[in-house]
Amino acid sequence: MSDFLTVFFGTIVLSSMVIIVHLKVAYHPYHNPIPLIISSLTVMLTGIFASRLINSNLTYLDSMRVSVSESIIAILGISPLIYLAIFIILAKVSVSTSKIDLN
Amino acid sequence: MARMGPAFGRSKLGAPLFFVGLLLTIYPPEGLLVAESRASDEMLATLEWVGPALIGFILVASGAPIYYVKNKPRLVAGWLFVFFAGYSIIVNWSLGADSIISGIAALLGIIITVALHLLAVRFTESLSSGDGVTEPLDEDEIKHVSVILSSHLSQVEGPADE
Repeated sequence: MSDFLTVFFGTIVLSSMVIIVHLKVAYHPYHNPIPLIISSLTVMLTGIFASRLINSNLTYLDSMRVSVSESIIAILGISPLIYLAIFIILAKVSVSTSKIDLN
Repeated sequence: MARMGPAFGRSKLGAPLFFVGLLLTIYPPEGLLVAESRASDEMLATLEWVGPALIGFILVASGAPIYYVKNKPRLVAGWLFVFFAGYSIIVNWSLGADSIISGIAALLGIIITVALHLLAVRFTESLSSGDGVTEPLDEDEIKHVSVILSSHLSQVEGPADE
């Protein structure tokens, strides 16, 4: 169960990091990302705190590093399913012969 | 990520960030924890099929029919890469019970984080007063839009009539 929770909270931390990086990288003058950065930081810190509770023998930093690493391994483990989903979409697009209805 | 936002003000950080991540994956730094070393090895192993798959997906997507016109060489080359990646997955991928349980945990984590993020987006947008009602197009804008639309429609009608 602790492995499951480690991966679960690690993925929450990792996803929040990705969202924060995305908000920074995708910044443009008509966007106010501050409330979203605050909410993502809150979710991320909650994830770090929860993973520290599960791995109480580790420091906050180490528990975050371990849980995020485990979550990366878990995501990579199911990544062929993502390949399969894109494969199906592209197969449909490649043989698509539908006509555009101009009426 | 590099293409978000208005064209004149797009952030240029996306591509460099991607390459830094790729470099750190290929050449991991010293002093990693055991879990991090395992993750690094997994990422390197995954790159073997992700690389060809990514190239193949881009080629297939750009060679697929758009308005009935397709780029056959690009499509064929793309599918070769995609099938090579698929072969690589079949040879190397083994899905055990542990991987399935970890995968479910990871999916749950992603779904909950994205749901919370979308709630935050909704809340943030509810705070915005908006810009009111959009002004109708003026004469010049109507002319400009009409020219663009008629040009696009004549391009679509051409091949469809054949």
